[in-house]
Amino acid sequence: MPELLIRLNIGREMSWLEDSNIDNFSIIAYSTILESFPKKLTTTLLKIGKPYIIDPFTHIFGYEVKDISEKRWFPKLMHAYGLDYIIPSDKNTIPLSKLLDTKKQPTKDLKSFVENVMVYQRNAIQDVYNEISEFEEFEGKSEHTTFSPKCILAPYFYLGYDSEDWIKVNIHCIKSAVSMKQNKEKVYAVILIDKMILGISSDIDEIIKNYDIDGIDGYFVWITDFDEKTARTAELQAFIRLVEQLSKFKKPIYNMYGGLFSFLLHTKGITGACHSICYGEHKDPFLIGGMLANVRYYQYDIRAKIPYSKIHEIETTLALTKCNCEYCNELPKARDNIGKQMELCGKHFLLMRTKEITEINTATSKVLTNMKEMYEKSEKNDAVSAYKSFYGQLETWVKVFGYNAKL
Amino acid sequence: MSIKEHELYGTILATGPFKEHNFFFEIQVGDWTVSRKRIDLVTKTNNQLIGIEVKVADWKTSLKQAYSNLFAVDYSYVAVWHDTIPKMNLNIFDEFGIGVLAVNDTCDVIQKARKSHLTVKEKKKYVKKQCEIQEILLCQNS
Repeated sequence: MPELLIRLNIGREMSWLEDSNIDNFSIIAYSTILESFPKKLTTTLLKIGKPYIIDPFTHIFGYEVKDISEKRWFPKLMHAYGLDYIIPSDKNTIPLSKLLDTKKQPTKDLKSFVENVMVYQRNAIQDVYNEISEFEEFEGKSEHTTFSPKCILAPYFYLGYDSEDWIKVNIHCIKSAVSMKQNKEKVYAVILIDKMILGISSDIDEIIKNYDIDGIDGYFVWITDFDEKTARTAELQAFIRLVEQLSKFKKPIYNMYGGLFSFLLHTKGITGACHSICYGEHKDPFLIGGMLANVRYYQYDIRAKIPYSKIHEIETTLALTKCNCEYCNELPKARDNIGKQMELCGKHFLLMRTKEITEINTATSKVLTNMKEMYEKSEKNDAVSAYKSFYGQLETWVKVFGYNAKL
Repeated sequence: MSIKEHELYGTILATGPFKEHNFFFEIQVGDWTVSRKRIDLVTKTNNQLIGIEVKVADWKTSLKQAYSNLFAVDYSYVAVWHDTIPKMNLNIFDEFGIGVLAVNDTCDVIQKARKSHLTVKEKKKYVKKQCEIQEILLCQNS
């Protein structure tokens, strides 16, 4: 069964998840979110009782991001990762020379950074829990509660053109992390690659071969701002190729930011994908923060997020099935309440996504056939092509799978 | 000659089929959520709302917008620069009951709009309210 990892970003999403009716999923949260909402995230993890991963978000210390030091979590993470002593006081990034020596070997600073990042992921939630449980009463509180992440992510940095030194840093970080594993702990690598080099198969092969590391337990792949919905056929094919190359190492592979297309790649070697609740299926690592201002609704027939205000016109024009799940039935009552609309649309999305994953697990080909039929029906009904941007991806996805079937 | 979209507005208002009516500009179609969708021109006649999408040459985009307007108004039109008319597939406008206006020195009806059967009561009410708000603001500023 493809695995769903839900990325939690804000407090209200944590509450939605607490009372949603879905079951098979894990949680992933940035360390920045843990630093921003420590208590809420910890109590949510306690209430939900699902496996979790803390994304250490270390790439932000690899390049200059405007105004990042003004974020409240920034100095906290600097301290937690022991970077106060590594990053010069007038900078926000780690100088390469602090991580690699002149012979391109790992420095002591690199090893201590890796250790700190691992210790943080291992203990941060437990530490918050211990702190709050000492003074507060809350649901699920117990003296013997222990938290440990599903896996630990080795520190990672962005790989673009001419990133040879950063590849070395990433590999040294992974090797150090593997050597510091405790008990049955699992260590995963994050491969963050620029979308621009996705299509250069020789570069991809060159990068991938470095990641065949003894003791590594799996991979998270992050292609910068790779949007499955708008990606061209060739880009999707290049992504599949990358997954197939990586799957030769016979370890689990997750798409760090993916959606339905990634789950469909279960047959090609993808174990699962991470996304937020009805958004966050692609991410540009150079952009930090930003909130979802619009209410978006997941239209199951066309597998697309559509603006809330367009639900009626799109469903009417394309003759799509109107969902009558418990959340959709409540939507008309939320006419003047954007917060409630977001909550209901979010819960509806989770319900649909878990349904899709089950369907993919049962018969991927049936899902693809359904997509093909739905594309043809939508195209026929959309006589003025007013809504093609909402269902056009179905044609591309089906085509990509057809292409691969011929190979 | 390079014509800009807003340069067509004056002719539509002064010589078009609705010249006797008040016009409202850039009217939002819903507050369900943060919506960027606006109708270029809206006018009222009795209890009926008429929406007009104005484009110089890009008639395909105007068709999509005018189609979407069918959910918010009673009659939906596109107004284009007269040179664009021969390039347009008028049958598809007719199929959906979308009216077509040609703008030159005057604004002439090429094809009359038919009453929309897709209008959503709630959306129409919202558009009407936006027109009323604009009317009040205009009165206050004049």
